[in-house]
Amino acid sequence: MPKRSLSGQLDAALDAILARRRALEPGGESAESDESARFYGKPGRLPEVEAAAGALPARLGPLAALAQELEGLPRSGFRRNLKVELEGRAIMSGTAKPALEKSRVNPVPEGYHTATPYIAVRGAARAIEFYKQAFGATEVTRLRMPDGSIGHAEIQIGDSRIMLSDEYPEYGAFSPESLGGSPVILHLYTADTDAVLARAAAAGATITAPAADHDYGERSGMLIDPFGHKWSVSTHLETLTFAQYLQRHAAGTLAGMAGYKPSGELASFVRPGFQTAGVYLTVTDSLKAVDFYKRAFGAVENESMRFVDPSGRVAHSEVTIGDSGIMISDESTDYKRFGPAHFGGSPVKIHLYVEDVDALAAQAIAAGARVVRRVEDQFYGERSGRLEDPFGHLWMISSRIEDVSPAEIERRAAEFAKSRAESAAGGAVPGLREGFTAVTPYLAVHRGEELVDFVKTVFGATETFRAQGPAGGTHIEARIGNSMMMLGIAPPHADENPAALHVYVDDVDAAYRKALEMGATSLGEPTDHPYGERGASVVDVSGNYWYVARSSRGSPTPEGLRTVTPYFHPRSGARMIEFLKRAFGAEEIARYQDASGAIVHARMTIYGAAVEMGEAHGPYQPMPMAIYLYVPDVDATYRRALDAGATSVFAPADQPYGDRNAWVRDPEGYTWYIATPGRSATAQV
Amino acid sequence: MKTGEADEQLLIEAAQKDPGRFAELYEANFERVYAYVASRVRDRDEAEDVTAEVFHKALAKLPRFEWRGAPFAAWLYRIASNAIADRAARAARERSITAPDDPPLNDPPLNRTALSDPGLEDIERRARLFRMVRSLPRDQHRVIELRFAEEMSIREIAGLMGRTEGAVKQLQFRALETLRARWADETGGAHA
Repeated sequence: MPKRSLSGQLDAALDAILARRRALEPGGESAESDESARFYGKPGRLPEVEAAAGALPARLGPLAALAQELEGLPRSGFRRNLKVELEGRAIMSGTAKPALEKSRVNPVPEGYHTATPYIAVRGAARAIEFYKQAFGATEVTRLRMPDGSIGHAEIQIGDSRIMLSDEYPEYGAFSPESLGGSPVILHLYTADTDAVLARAAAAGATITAPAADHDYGERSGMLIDPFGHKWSVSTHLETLTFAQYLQRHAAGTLAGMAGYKPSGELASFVRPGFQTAGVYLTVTDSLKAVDFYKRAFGAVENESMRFVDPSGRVAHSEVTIGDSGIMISDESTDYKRFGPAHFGGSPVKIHLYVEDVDALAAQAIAAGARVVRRVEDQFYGERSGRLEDPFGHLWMISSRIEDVSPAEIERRAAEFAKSRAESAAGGAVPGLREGFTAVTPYLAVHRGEELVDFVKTVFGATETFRAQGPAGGTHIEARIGNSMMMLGIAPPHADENPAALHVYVDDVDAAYRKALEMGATSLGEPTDHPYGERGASVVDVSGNYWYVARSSRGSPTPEGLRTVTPYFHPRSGARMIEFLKRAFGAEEIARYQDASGAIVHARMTIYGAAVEMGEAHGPYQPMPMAIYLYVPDVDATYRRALDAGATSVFAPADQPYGDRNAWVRDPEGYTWYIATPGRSATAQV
Repeated sequence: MKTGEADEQLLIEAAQKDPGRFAELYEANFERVYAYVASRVRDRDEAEDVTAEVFHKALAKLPRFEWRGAPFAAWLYRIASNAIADRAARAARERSITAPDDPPLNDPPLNRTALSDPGLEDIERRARLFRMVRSLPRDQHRVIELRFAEEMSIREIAGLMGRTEGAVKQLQFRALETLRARWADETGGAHA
């Protein structure tokens, strides 16, 4: 037998140690052995190792013993990822709350229940009129945006508020019309179900279930309002014990219910523990949802109201959060009830007023909620954030920190809109050249002159700058509407970087026609989309994808948005979003998923400038698109990008044209030229 | 050790005021918590899940943490111990729901008094060793990580690092020798 090297003998001993560990994993033969010795026996006590060590030279014995202690070494990837996750949540949970400390405002304002439905409507102003007519609602407050849309309104029905706004697809607020339905039924208690259904029908609602007495002690009916929201209208007749209900249910009749007259005094048409207006959520798994709401929001389940039908489907369950009852059921094809995943979102958010929004956020996140917007002080005098639960329902959690008058809110809203527009226009990165934002798409192609003609003809672009590079390339800057783009004419030996761009135009059909005349291929003819845009898509001769759109609301380019927005097609949207957050501190503005969980559309901002994405599918595949990204500190961003999984192409260096820049490729293969603006006023290539 | 305690107290107070500072407590305690959890649950995935749960809970509960002189790690161990017990209880419940005819379960009683656990010295030693691995020269660190944490074979590691199997075994040997020497230095120093 040939004599083995020391390192070989050591490795054989390590194999024995590791093999023993594998045997102890679940499924291994001694998985049930003494717990404390599972990973770590005392050094030298393991028979296999003793046998191996006995044959080992003295020098190797201590090394084998040490190796035994290294079993169960944590993976550094896990250590790093957990840290990033915790940092995200720590930031989300916010810093000290000075506003809370200095004011003595009641965090839960008067007149609100813990839970308030917040609904998005296409045509909020008309909807308010409908709710007045049908449900006797009164208007409490209305915040009009500069473009005339309703940014926020509140109506009162009975003892409950309902918050509503117009839909803003670009900020993730979709109406039932855009989503094709709703995973939330708005539940309304009323003194006279029949009268309310009749009034609603007269005002344009569709009655989907006429008023009827039900064996759970209520007379109720269902309707869909003209804006697509589902309502269940109900009068509470008697409070049954669970046993009484079962008895009645088993009898299969409504004996004793027809022409019901309460024997005692009818305390209220609202069932005890509920409010006039509440929500009835559809989820994929009610039991899991109830468990989550308990851990996340301190909900309490009313277990006697949990009904499971013979197939095991949870037909009804209830929890109370704070003072508010919330009903939950499983999906059902028969009843056409589907959860948020089916629709790709929800037009109804659940707004919770709580004592300590930061503590609740931390608790909910620990329970598994996803942060949509981190908790922050808002201009309207609240500290609030937005979470998505594991079932896709959206929760706005809020504490009042300051009493602000409606006039003051309006003034601050205008200021807020202005500062958001400024930040989108590059204000977040100091020293940017006029017209630039943090994000500029950089299209480099061989047939560059044709591309310049294309953007001039189709989009009315103007060339603002041109310079010759040392390697034979040409750098061109052009303006389309309020946006800048960079175009490169790549020398024949250099790679091309075609892009996909979302461009707002005044006339989609005209732009589409001109593009085809310029040799582009159609990917989709001009079409009206349910989310309020008319759009068409083409591929130009260099392989750039152009998604041409016009908003059907107000101005062709939605308020506050840029004419040109880069559009990514990552293989994994979640991975791309995570990368943008970690590498560039990007903020998620909107996310739209299909029933399979694929990200159909998402919108993020990086230093106020937007990027959009939809996961790769069909002809829409990842491309080597390049983005020129202006940031305040290129060195810091470069390091964070590498930490987040990017590969370095060039480390940060000062460029002759004034910018200091670096070049990385993200995990999806997109190229980022990260730059800090130089002192020179004009780029010099 | 008094300075160590004072430092820890400062870190805790800083993180209570600004959750952004929690990362420092995490850095100081990750290996301890992981070693503690890994000594009590079966596989790596579960150890990672529980470790993550412990830190998330700690972050959430930190504002209510009161300094009473016990090391911060003891508090983390208690969270971990409860998390493991909860999981065991949940698993038992799920098993009893799906298989009601199973005989009653005999789960070993879980130790809820982490502070008096005789295994804590072992945990501390292992945590120090894990931290020491992180300070190894890059290639040595990589081999140890791939071999012990990722549980790869020498052949896989050789493929990944673009080296011969012999070279990887050499690196592994050198890494363990470096660790042993540093360990001896450190513990020797502590005894002096």
